[in-house]
Amino acid sequence: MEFLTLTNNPAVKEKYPDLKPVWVEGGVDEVYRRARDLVHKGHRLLTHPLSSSLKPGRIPYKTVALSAKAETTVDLMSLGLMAAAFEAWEKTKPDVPLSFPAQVAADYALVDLAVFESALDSLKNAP
Amino acid sequence: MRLELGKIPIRNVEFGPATKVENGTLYVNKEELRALILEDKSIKSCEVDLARPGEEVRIIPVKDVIEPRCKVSGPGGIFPGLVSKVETVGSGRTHVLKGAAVVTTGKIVGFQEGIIDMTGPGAKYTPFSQTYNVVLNLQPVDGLPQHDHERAVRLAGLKAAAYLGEAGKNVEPETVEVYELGSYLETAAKYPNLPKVVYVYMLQSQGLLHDTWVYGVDAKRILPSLIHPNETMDGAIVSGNCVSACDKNTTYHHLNNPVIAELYKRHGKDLCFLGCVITNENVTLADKQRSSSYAAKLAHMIGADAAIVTEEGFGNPDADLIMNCNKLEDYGIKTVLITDEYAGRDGASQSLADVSPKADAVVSTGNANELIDLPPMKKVIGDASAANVIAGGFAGALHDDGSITAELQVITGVNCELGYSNLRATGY
Repeated sequence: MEFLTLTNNPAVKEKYPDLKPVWVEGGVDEVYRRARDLVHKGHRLLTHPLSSSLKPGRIPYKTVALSAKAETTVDLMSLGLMAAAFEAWEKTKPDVPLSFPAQVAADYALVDLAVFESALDSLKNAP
Repeated sequence: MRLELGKIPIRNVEFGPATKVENGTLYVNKEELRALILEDKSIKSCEVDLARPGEEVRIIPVKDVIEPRCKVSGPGGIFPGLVSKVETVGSGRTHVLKGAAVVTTGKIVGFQEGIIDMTGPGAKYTPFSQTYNVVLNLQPVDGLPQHDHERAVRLAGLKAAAYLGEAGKNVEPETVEVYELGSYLETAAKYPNLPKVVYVYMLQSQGLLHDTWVYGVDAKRILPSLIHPNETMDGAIVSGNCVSACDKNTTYHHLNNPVIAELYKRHGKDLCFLGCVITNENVTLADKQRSSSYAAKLAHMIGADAAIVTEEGFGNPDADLIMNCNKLEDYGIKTVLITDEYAGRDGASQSLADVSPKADAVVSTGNANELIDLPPMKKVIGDASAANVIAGGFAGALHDDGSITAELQVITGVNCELGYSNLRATGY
């Protein structure tokens, strides 16, 4: 199916230009804000907004896939997942702004890319 | 399927000229073990160290913990599909070096985690402070991509455990336990008046450092499937999963699943244990829907009255846990969940990222956000600076004197959602 990719992860942007990912400037919370806005406009979440077993407030990058087509109604499950993701982000955000050594940031980018790639086949094959 | 599990107690570990078990001591020929590991050309160096209970040793970052085992009789070998040929395991006889473990360490990514302290307050939280550990500190050749690096470290640990396990092949075990379960029809007919219970075994499967292998197959690629509980005891399920150390099932956990052990113990007494359904925890919501529907359907098809579900990890997989619960309950299957909690440092926040009124029987394996102080250790195997960036740590977690302040999450196995843990709730 056609899908829309939201990301603030440079590794996803660089490796998948053909997917035309929507680039988000900012942290994971900013990606969540954009995803929630799209859900309000009728897009459906296709991937879970929480990253495997990483705390959303402690990681620099996140990639989320949503349905490319907006429906006329809001998908309540997507809305609930976004609310839970925001709550988890709020709960895990640090007192000071996140900063990582370059290599650690690159590793976070790689893991987010790997998680996104593990979803790609399913995303492409979905009805 | 009938499996005899012969347990050989290990009460010490030493280096020696030959790898063998004698009077409860596991002797390890260090050079032979190193040579075996270094057969993999993607590994540049392998240091072999020993860590015994009570020693002032910290192992960090821990990737996997594996129990040495070997097949004595019956088809197949240990860790089928990865170390041994793909053959159905779980019958015949297997010997276990009970009390010994292989621990793999070495940094794959910069935020990797997992602490085992062999003494002090941290030791009380992890069962692997009580095992005699053969620790492999593994460094890859330069430029090895992380996926290949993960595979190399995973296979090195499995190979080492299989190698050490062979030392128990001709040793007479102190105890022999027998695990036997027949077909679903036979089992159900044998105990018509007992509630039929299925175990739904969730496996983390989301990508690099979040993966699990079943007979060598990446679990994200499977549809939920039936597995005989005995197969897990021969290493049919293997961990490639180490992010969020507190609630990841190491390979040791998969070999020693306490839910399976307890269901076996009560089989024929107050319940009828039908077997296990393995299912995954994938990234897309469609995959989560498919897997949870399929797992619940399998449980229904084999006639389960009740289910126990264990989660692996937290956050995103909470969605899988709740979907499994809802769908099992919709079939009329009474469901109990086992999960840990991320309830904030004071324990007052919501514990899970998803909830359901149908989740009305939930066993908690503790709050991973609780803070803990770990004093310095005389010896660190691995890389202590990992504490600064690991998931439960935060800037400043590693103090100048070598002590660590961090959330429980950094300790390997502390909140194990199979219940293989020292944490208890007590009334007072």
